[in-house]
Amino acid sequence: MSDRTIQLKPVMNPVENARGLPNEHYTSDQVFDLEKRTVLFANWTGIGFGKDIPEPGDAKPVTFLGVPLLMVRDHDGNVNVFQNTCRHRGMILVDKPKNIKRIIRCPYHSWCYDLNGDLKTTPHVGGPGQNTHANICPEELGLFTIRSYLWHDVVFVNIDGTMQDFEISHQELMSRWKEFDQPHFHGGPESSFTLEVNTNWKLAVENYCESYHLPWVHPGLNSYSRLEDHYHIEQRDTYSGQGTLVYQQLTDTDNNVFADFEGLSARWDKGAEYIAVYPNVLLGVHRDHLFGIVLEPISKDKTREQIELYYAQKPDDDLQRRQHRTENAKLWKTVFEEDIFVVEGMQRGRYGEQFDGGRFSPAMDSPTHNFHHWVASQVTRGEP
Amino acid sequence: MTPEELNDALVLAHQNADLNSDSLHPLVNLYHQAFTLNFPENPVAAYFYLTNAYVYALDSNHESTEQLESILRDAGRL
Repeated sequence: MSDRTIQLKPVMNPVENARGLPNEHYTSDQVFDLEKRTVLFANWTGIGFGKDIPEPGDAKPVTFLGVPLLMVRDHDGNVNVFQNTCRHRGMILVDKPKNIKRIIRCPYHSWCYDLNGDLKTTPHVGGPGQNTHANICPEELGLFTIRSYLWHDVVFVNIDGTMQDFEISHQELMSRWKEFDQPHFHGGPESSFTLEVNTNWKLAVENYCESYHLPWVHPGLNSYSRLEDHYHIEQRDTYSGQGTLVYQQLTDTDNNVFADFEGLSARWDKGAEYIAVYPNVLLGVHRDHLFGIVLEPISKDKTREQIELYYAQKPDDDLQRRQHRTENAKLWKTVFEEDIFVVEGMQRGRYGEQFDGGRFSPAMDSPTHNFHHWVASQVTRGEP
Repeated sequence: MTPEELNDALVLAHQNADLNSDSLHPLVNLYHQAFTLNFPENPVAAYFYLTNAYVYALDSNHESTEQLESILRDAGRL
């Protein structure tokens, strides 16, 4: 067995006698880099939202863990993701969000690519006014395409290209939430916010997975959604989270509620679920709104959280409905901000050299252990 | 427009080009004029300018894109 496999063996134990990931998974630059490749590049990882490129031709550059990527909405409405690098001299192609109509033109020597990444023209490549050269074959020089998949408006990518198709990888979860496979509309500017947190990205996932902390960290939420009203959600090697049986719809000043998604079964009348889609996407579904969170790991101890809320009906300009959406976003922002001291505190706690990964509550922490188990399996994949 | 005036206009049009791709339209027209000014006496310069007109037309989805592409292709330049 490799040293790492031996070191992580206690993490792979059943939750009853497992330990958490060792400190270095939160405090070491080397392990951060290891996880970058084995966990974040090797799986279906969230990099953003389709709502950021709503119109055909919209392009948004995203630098994810140092990798320059370009999200583009094509003229069929599909989202494509490319490496944001020209095949000629390696220049960054697009450095600001913009609408590029039909062509991605490199600003350096104007090599042009279409929205499918095909190399369209190479001006003066054969000398002034001569735009072809026998040695330059456009068919071989399209943009590097990054495998991508849009689900619940989250743009998932598999950067190293080794993962099985998204629909196969996440078949079980897609089936679990099939009822929500219907149009949903971003709530507008008030339904979008970002948090910068001084923590390792995994601690944000771990905190999201479990309801154990609700009574102490979210007293407001816990006043109507108590610990005993929650259940664990666990799927080995794919996702984990929690559900509630007592979701209450937010009402406005006239007691109106948001419109429901169509055709939902009775389990969603009072039910809601919050699931971490490994590695870095947190989703929440309710009868009347959804939210998605993409965790962007900035460094071993810094994470940016992009949060977006969606509804069953297209937002209009009605002031009361707009205020209602704003209230809902504020409510969630409060909840997520309440978590900050916890995830930052756990990060600081991991510099305590005697901390040994911690012991899980077998009754309450199994969704969190599920995530630790998965991370350990990813970083030791292929090792003896 | 004299070659000098055209050159000045091109410099100005490049300065005015921004993230809005419509701002590239003047470049398409000016480079096309430069092509006309040089063709057929100086084909190297002419097709250099026509190539630039084509590239900016492509980028800005200008109505002349197909026409410019066709001229370049017929001349064996694409």
